[in-house]
Amino acid sequence: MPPLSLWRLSWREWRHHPWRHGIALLAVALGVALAWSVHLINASALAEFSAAVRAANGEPDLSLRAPREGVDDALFERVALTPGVALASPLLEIDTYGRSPSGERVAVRVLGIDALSIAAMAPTLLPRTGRGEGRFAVLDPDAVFVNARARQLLGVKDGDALPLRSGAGWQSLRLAGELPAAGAPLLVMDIAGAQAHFGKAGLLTRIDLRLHPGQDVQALVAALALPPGVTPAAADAAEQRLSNLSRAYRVNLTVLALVALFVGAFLVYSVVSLSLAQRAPAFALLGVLGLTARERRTLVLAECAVLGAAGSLLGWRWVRNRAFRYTHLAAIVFVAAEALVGMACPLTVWEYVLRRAAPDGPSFVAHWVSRLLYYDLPGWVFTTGYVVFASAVAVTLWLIPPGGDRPREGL
Amino acid sequence: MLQLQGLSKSFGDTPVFRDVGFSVARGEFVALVGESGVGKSTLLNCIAGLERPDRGQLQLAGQDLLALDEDARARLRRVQLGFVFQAFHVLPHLSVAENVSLPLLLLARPDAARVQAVLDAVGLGELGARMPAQLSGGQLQRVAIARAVVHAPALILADEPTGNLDPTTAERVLSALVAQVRGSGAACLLVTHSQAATRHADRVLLLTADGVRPQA
Repeated sequence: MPPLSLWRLSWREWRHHPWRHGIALLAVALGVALAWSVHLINASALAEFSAAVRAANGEPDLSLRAPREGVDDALFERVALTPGVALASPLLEIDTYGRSPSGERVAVRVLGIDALSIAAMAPTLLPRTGRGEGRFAVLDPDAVFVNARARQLLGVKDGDALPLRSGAGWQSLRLAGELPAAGAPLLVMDIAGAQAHFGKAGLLTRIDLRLHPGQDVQALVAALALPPGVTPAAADAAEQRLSNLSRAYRVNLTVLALVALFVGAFLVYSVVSLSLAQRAPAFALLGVLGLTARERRTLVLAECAVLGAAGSLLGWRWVRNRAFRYTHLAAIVFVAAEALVGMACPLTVWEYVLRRAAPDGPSFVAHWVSRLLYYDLPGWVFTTGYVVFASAVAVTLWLIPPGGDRPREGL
Repeated sequence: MLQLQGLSKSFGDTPVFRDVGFSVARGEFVALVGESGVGKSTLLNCIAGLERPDRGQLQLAGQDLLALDEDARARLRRVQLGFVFQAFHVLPHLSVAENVSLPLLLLARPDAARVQAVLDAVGLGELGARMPAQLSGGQLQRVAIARAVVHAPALILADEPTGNLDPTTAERVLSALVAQVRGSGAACLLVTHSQAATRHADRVLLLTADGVRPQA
């Protein structure tokens, strides 16, 4: 450890060359900001892309799910009027049976919908009225609409009476059209009719929400103060599907983030190296006057630590940046692997070639810079150091996971 | 204070000096002369522990310098040695007083009064707040002399301290150096080409390819 009084030298050096250290500080800040902003762009783009796909496919931003027995539909009015909610669509979900003309029972899901809001929320659930039906058939409490699979299994056509199981009895509804929605047998009807026919008056089982852009979901959920049993939920399967759809897009952004990281790291390295090289005469003099190599190294590293800490103050969360962390691990594993197999770093080989090509030996300054940067120790010392450090990087990945996950318990 | 015996040094196949042996007692002022390229500065670097000789023995302040590792040699330099270079080597972003106080900072015992006293002694008492760029060559070398003696080292190594100065200024600087060395009781080994400089020395040694001998 260099004497504390030497910090005065560092301070004077910084004051004497404020632009140089300002650039170093700026480079650190830019590097951190660049990496972090690309990460934010990546996350934001994915979110917006997902929102766009949801809008097209009828997936809500958020669903409030009630217990099977339902929740009072007064909740809908309160939710719809909550700031941050752009659109709310009430649903009543009922799993029941339909009976085909041949008497065969078919398991179906009946969705009671609000026809006025469903078009914007879930276009595939918007009924298409059949021939002979009026424009307002979707509001008729006795009309029901089926998707292709339900029509096939139930063997019914528009205008037919369709018996549906309700409690201990059967309710006969009129088939008034069809749904574009694919998948399992699905029936849609006006929510008031569904409540009446299936004994669920005044109840809802789900409220789908479309949120204003940028709305924080967690904050909204907190503001809603949901009653017991009602839980906010995102459609996991839909998320996975969206993730697959946008994978190529995200890969491109990740590559961009890696390029940004390399550029930022190179910028920081260059500025710090330049600063060190320009201060080499001062370090050489301090070495001659009695500052040991270890103390000089500590002084330089401490200065860099101060610069790094100052530069990254606003971007501390970058330590959880996935690209940065894995690139760091890959780089040190590469170095350790090189050392283990006895391979020289290509950059070092080039350096040796260029040094041999140089007409003169190292200068006085270069001599002392080399003493500051290079050490004559057995190869196994470096190999052990690299492997230990690579292991430490891997362990920190486990202890402090990237990507915003919580640290392991106990940390 | 300083004892050399059978010291040899070569760079690759090129010998620099060989079988050099002499000693310098406490308070003694010794001049080392020799032709250019004979290895005077390299010998000084070996004595300072900046270069390792190939063979021989080197005792500084009672310690076997060649048995110490690099950090230990640096710590020994910090306490026991003072340096005066031909090219001054003062740090441009530090004031005159701060440059002089460098050895005290390295020893973690800053002492403004001591710095001012040494500056007064070399005739720069009024210039402590100035920056090096505001000083002449002669004044800069006197700053270097003040820096070399401020921490009261046992041995001062001066490598051509007047090489960049005109004769009048050189004489003034040498006088300051001699006065400080005599006043502090330190030993001094002065490498020089200047016959005028050798007149201040108690002894003059001539370094040749075959070793060192007293100059007649």
